[in-house]
Amino acid sequence: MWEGILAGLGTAVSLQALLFLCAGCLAGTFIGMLPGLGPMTAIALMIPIASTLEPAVGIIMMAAVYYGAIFGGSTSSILINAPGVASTVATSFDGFPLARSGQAGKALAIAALASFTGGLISAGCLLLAAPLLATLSLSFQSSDYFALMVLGLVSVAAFAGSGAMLKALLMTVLGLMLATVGTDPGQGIPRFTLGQVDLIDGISFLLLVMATFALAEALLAILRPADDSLRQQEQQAMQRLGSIAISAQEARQMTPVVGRSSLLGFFIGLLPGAGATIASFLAYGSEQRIAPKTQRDSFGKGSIRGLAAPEAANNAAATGSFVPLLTLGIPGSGTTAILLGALIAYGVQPGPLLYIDAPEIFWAVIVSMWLGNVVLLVLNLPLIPYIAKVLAVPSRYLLPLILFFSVTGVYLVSFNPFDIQLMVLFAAVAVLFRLLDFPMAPLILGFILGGMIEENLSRALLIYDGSWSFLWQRPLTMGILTVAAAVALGPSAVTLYKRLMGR
Amino acid sequence: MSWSNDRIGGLVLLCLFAFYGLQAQHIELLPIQQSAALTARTLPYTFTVLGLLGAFWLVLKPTHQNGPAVHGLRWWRLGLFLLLMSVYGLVLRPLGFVLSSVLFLAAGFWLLGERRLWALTVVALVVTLVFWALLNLGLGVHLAPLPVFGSR
Repeated sequence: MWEGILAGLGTAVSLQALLFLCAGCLAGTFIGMLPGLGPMTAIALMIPIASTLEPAVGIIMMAAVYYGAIFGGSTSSILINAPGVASTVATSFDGFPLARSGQAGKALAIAALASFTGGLISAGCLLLAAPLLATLSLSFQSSDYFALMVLGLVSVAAFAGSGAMLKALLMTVLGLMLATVGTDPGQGIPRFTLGQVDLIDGISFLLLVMATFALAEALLAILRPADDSLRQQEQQAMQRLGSIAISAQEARQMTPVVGRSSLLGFFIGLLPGAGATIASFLAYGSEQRIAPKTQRDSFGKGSIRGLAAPEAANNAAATGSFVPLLTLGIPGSGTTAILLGALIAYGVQPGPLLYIDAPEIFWAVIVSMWLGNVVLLVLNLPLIPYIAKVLAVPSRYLLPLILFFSVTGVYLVSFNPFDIQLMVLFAAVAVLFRLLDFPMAPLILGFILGGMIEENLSRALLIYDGSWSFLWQRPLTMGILTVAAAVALGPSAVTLYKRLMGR
Repeated sequence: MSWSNDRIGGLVLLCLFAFYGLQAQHIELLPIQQSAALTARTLPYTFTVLGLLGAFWLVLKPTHQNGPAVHGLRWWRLGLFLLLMSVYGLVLRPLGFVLSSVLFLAAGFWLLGERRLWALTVVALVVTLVFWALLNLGLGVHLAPLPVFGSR
């Protein structure tokens, strides 16, 4: 293990890796700060650049973009009460009141420090948990992977929120369907190509992500009446940050909160589908419950505990979500699904074998998480007022630029103009679904896992001589599928039970 | 029956899933493949059934939701930008990267309200040239800048 860590450290602290780490953190922070744009868009926009780099450096950069975007999202939550992503909503509960009372600098420093510590503790847990899980998962068979992927898909839909589960499930099915376009991996038969040679290799993952996130987001902004007020408000708030100093008493108050929330965040992050949003709300809620009576009342009015808890938890969960990705090769969230797609595009297959075959990549990613958190703290925080200047770019320039970089990003990977036409079509459909309040992350997850599900199912059937009996004869497979069924049907069963009892 | 977001979305999905299901029937299998436990049609059929059932339920289930908030949306701008991107895809090779990108960006800025010709031209030109130089010199991705230099 130590050799792997040293190899990872060697890769992660190379000049090129450090350079792209800093660039990723800065770019992520900037994109995350733009209201409406979150980590998924940020990573999607960076993939074309990352694809020209060595795998380890490219992955380090994308991980840095991920953290940077979460940090940037927290910044807009604190300064203007406009969380770009759901995972920073809880941050705004106490961050915005603090900023309004003239302590924006302090609020940002607390958020950065809590995120940093959350990321650090979580990366420590990852260091211990990932090899264990990777070793354990070596005993997994294709049928178990198939079951785990079904669980992953169902969990993401189950955590979509009340009333949105069916919509999330349907978007997952749509993603699974899109994954079947192209040549069938088992029998080599073309499917759903509609006579187009360009579709023989299937739909490019990057194309779909860019169309449904970056392009759709920019097109939605174009569709709505021009409004630069949020960004101007954010820019103005950043000009009068005030002091970023934290007193010793405040630090003492924060420490246990950050410790507890980080551990909670890490474990929530491990669960497929749960992720940073649930972790941040749970941490906020539990800290509010256990706070002394005198401090409990200050929650929602600028409490330091209330700000530190969700920030530590969401960053810790973001790190925790890398465990199933790196050890099992199964993404637990939309963001890690995009990262998985990028890894596969590199020819790197995450899973237990990554830990054995390419330890330098495995450990470089983990080491880069620590470095990324340091960069966010020492580089990004002081640079916020300068990054803010970029926000002054009016939307009449910014939106065409986002479209331009998205379209050329996809073209530069395939050099096929057909991809641009396909992208326009997907973007138009994505805008329609976004207007109708349908989530896009399950679609991406379904698309990424679709091919892997078919592959593992086909392999399992080969092992069991064409018999489907592994579904009920292999205890691990059956156990995971039972959990998946419980997760899928549980909420409906509870609702039905309550309704019957109500009568 | 009110036209809620869920219902409209359910109907759109229903059409997409039905089209997918119809296309799934056109997947050609060799006789030897038809008896396999998992054929190229198995999962597409499974997804079609799951999708259709779910979409039917979404359309039929009772709802108190409102319809989509479309008031004040600028559809013409969306349409023009979709068209602009599509045209960009068509002219990218024949016109070359630099020329087509400058035209795309300048048209985009103009559509969003920038009326100062010098400003939109300068910004489009600078962004394109810097990006093109970065691709060629920094990342080693070579793109023909103008039509006369090549076809890619």
